[in-house]
Formats: sequence, C-alpha cells, structure tokens
Amino acid sequence: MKDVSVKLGERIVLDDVSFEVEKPLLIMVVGPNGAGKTTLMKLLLGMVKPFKGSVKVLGLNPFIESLKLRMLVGYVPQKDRVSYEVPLKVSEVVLMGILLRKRFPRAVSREDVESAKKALEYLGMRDYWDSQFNELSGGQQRRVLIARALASNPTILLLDEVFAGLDAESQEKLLDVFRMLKKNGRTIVLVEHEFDPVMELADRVLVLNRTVCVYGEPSNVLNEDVLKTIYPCVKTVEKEGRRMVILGDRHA
Amino acid sequence: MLDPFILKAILGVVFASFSSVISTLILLRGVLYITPEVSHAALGGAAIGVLIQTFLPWFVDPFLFVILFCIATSVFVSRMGKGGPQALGVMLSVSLAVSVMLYAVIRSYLPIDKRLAVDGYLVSDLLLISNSDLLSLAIASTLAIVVMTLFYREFLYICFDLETAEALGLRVGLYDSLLFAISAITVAVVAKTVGVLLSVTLLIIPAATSRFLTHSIGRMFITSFLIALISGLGGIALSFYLNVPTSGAIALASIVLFASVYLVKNRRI
Repeated sequence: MKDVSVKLGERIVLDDVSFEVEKPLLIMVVGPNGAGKTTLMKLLLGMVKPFKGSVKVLGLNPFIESLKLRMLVGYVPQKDRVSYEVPLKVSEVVLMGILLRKRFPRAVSREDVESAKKALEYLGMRDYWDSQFNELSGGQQRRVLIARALASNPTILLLDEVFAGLDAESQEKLLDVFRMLKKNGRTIVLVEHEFDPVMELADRVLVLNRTVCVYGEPSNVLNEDVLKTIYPCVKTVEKEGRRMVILGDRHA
Repeated sequence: MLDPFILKAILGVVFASFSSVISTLILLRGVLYITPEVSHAALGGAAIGVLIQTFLPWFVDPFLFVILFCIATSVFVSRMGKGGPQALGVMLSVSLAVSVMLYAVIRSYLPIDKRLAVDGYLVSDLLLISNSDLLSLAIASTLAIVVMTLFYREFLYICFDLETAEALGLRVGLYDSLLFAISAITVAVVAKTVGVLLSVTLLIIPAATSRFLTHSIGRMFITSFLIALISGLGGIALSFYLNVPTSGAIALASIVLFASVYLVKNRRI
C-alpha cells in the first residue's frame, strides 16, 4: 500500500497511508476510535476506493481484480455487523463462507460440507454443527465466524476487532486459535482497539490514526514516546516479564 | 359446493398469505418499518392506474401501477432509511400525503364505477374480488415467491451479515433492491386483498407472531404463512356469519392470534 488516501463523503479518513508486508505474518492494526482501522480493512478488500495512492494485495489490485482477490481472502467483521436476530444454524453460517464464493445457484456439495466441518473442527466447534448460532456465547460465535472465514482456505485472514467484549477465558481460547493459524503460515491482519491480548503474538504492529503513526516490530513500536503522539496519557508497564500498555485509564 | 364469491375470497387469502413469507424475510432484514410507507403508495398507484384506465380503456390492469408505485416507494424508502428514524418519519408523512392527495384529486375526476374501484384499495371487500383480480394476484404472488426461492441464500446472507456478503463479492445493492422490490409486490397483493388501511396487519402480524413461536428460519416461513392463512379464513368465516366487513374481520383475527401467542408465551416465562 503506497501513499493511499481515502475520503468518506467530504472527510479524509485515511491520509497518505503506506506500509508493506513481505511474508506471512500476524499484523496487528491498532488505533483510537475513528482512526480509519475498519476503512483500512475495507480498502484491502476493495470495498472502498482511494482517491490517491495504490493498493496491492497478494499482487492483485483489489479494485480491478476484486473477484480473484476475494477468493483468497477470509474476512471476520466486527460483532455488531452480524444480525443475531436471524436464526441461522452454525452449519449455515460456516457454509456461507464457502457458498458466497460460488456461482449461482450456490448449491451445497459434499466437499463444501466437509470443508465447513473441518474448519469448525479446527476451532474446536465441531460439536456445535447443528446448534443455533445466536444461542452460542460471544467467544463461541467469534470462533464460528473465524471458521466461516477459514472454510474456503484463504491465504489472508482479515479480522475486525474479534477480541472486543470477550471475557478472559474466551480471549485465551481465541489466542490459541491465532497461535495455530500462525503456525500454519497464514498472513493475518487483525484490527483491534486495544493492544492486549494480541500484542504478544503480533509480528508487526501498525499504529493508525488516519495515517500510519508507526509500523514495525512490537518491541520498537511499544515505546512510550512513540505512543504518546496518539495516546497522550499512555504508560507502558513491565509485569511478570510481559510488557503492558496502559492507554489513559484503560488497560490494553 | 362453495359459493363462488367465498371461493374467490379464499383464493385471494391464499395469495395474500404468501406475502407473509416475504414479510418474514423483511423482518429478518430489520426493515419491516418500510411496510406502512409502501402500503400508502399503493393507494396513489391505484388512483393513477384507474385514471389511466378510465381514459384509455385498453390499458392493462391498474394493479400494475399499484405494483410499480409500491416498488418505487420501497426502493426509495430503503435508501432513505439509512438516514435514520427522522428520515423515515418524514418519508411516512410524505408517502401518506402524496397518496392521499392523488387519491382525493383523481377520485373527483372519475365516474362513479371507477371511484368504487379506487375506494376498493382503501378498504377492500374480498367477497367482491373478480376473476381478473385473482389472476393478477396469482401472477404477482407467484413472481414474488419464485424470486425469493431463487435468491433465498443471497437474501439470507444480506439479512445475516451484509458486510461479509459484500466483502466476499456479493452484489449486495442489487440483491437488497430485489428484496425490497418483491416485498413491495407483496404489499401490493395484500393491499388489493384487504385494502391499504388494513394491509399492515396481514403483513406485519404473521411475521412477528412466527418469531415468538420458532427459532428456525424454515419454520418461521411456514408459521407466518399459516398464521396469515388462518387469519384470512377465520376473517372470511367471521364476516360470513356475523355480517361484518371481511377485511376488518381478517385484521381482527390476526390480532387475536398474535395476542393469544404473546400471552401464552409470556405466561410460560
């Protein structure tokens, strides 16, 4: 991504954003509210167009070769983007990730069912195949949505605030999932509002506030002087050999 | 042997009941609020359709104009809906004002028999439904159900997670507009069957009641269809035996069903 600027209406939401990812990594995108994190995600998917700059994902232009690109990308939206009023079964949710990539009439094949079950198995949710999605806990729902993204075996996984609102136990289970995904050598772009708990797994951290404030390895980024430019009240604390970032009155 | 008037009324109710299946999908899409706006538009469309037919007798069924008006309003309101509740409130007033104006002005230029045709859209009498009306209802209902069946998955994905559907390449704008269009057709069908004033009850209540009764999408569709059908048949029976207006009796029957389910469900809790 080079010198990319995006406008939503008259407002510039991303300004001169540039960064590059060369090999499979877990990249964490962090920034305050309204920093343009979700827009960055949509930019990578070709859902919003920049008025300046160029974007390439896996060597493809998301605005010209969007169909090709979407076959290679898995996407997990923020939790409030999903309607919990629609009473779908877990199986239907996971199959959605496969069927949306197929042509009309998107018929379900035996292979599709196998892939969906495999994805659920991978996330420890195989027993919930026939369960109602909206009756699961928040953490389980997040794992099902990740299974949906993984069901079509994507090269890149884009996740938007999947840790938001989860309790410590669910966060830990989700971290295990990311550890597994990292081992499998997938590129993961994870947008989060807070640094914790993903920070320990991240290979790169991109701090965004309409533009790239800092991008690099966590040890270089998690520097109070750097972070103070975005979060004036920030403090970094070492605890039990682990560095924590405290954003104002919130622990992250 | 059933009286032909009753038989036609029953067929009208069956076609109208299919509308509740699409209303259930609209409920899941979270946009059931568009129904009143769209039903108002049916009145304006009927007034224009009947006016044209008065001066151009070879003109096809005015019901076509009702459908076109409903589709235009549905797609327009769905776009305005993104402006929030205030925009929707304004749209409700606008659709009602435009339709009432069209109805009142055009009606004054129409001969008596044509006035009755337009009035039939305000509060319809199912027992007076004609063979050509039935044919129009059958075609419109079949079209809506066929489109819904063909694009069921696409509509469901839009209802569940529009953002991911778009991210994975689904043309969400196209399918969303198509969903609003078929919902508009069903509003036109119900407006023709029970009239604009009472159409909302047959469009909203069966869908809302089915939600109380089941958590499975397939069963929600079947339940809302059955509730609409039972309301319709019950309404016809009430109207026949108590000599009360059919549309009102159908609306009342659906309200009684909803209230009963609501009370039973809450008592269980």
